[in-house]
Amino acid sequence: METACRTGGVFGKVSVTGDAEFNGSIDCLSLKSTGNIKVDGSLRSGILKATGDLKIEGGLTVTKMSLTGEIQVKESISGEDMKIFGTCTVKNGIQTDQFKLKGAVQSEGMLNAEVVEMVLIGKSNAAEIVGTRIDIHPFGVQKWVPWLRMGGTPELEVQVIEGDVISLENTMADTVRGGKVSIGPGCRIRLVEYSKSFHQDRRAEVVENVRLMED
Amino acid sequence: MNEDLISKKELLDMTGISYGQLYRWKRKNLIPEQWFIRKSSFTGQETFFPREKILQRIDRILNMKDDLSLDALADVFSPSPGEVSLSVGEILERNIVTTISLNLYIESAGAPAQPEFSFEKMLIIYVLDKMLRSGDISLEEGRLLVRTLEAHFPERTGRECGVMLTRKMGVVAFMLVPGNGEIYMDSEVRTVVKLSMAQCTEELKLWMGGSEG
Repeated sequence: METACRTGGVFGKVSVTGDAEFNGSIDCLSLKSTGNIKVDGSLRSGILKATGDLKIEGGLTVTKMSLTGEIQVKESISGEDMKIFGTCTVKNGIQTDQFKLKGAVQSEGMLNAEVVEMVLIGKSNAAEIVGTRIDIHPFGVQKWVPWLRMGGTPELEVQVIEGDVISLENTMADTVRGGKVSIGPGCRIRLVEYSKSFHQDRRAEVVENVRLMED
Repeated sequence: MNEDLISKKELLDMTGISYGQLYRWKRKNLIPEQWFIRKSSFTGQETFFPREKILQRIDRILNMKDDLSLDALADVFSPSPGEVSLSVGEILERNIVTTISLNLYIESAGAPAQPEFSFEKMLIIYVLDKMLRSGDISLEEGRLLVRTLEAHFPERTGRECGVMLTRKMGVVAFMLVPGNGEIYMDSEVRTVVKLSMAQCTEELKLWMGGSEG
């Protein structure tokens, strides 16, 4: 099937079934798609609902997004409410209020969100994850369904995590700083700095933990 | 330069805010990205901030956040120009600048094509007024300032820019420093005034919004 091709521009509602390629940036109220989309520019949309692959050469700005599949963004992502079931690859950072992901994320920048909830499938990595509440754990069914392990053991590699309430599993990090920090099984962390509470599972490895005194 | 920085740990400790708040404000553009300065230290990577700027900003956010929404606050702090434009009458009526500065501006830059001044123009008049009022510059130097700003701001310098007036052996020079960085000059050069355009933008917005008027 041939790929539909058209120039970017300003639209109301965009809906795509099948493959589409846009030669230029898109600014629209909503974009709903099933299939593969490639945007040679930036995408700005109020609502983004997609199943399939989404490749954006520029940045992505979206208020509400729900995606099943794969998304690749060359610049950065910013938004308010994001739900991703699949993989999300972004060159720079992600800024959003809600970031809920089931799958994997690859980012060379900072993930900054009020709430970060990640259910890991396969390998994820990010430079920094920061926010108010950060919750990271592996996808549970993998224990029972071996074929889901194709991507290897679910794990997240990150340099720094900072937040008020942090709960981690299967995470490799250099430094974790926060108020209430809970380090679950499968974690390998060099340094934890906490101000309120610290809990470490016996299957986790933390080289050093420091309590910061609050005056 | 080191004594002007504050580490993130120290900042949170001093102000009593949490990581969540700090990053929320960063997300909402209340704290500019450039203020997050990353350095490696013996405990791993640490983030530092320009001490004075960040403490002042956080203080203002904490004071104003009950009256304004975060988005409205972001608007005040954003270095991009406001949308409003005012006529000569309105500017004087609201006491934003003095008549002298306004006249001097019109005299050196010419009367505006439209009857109203854009935010851009008002910002220049505001800076001029600030310097004149403080007594740092003479009227003649004021003309020079207007010409300098008209010619280069903001197209060539960006909005985060510093304005400096220097004197050496009785000779004046205005300098626009993009990114508000530091510059170092020979010891005979005296820096008379240094203003940040971003900060002036912020002040002018507050004036026009009426919350400080």
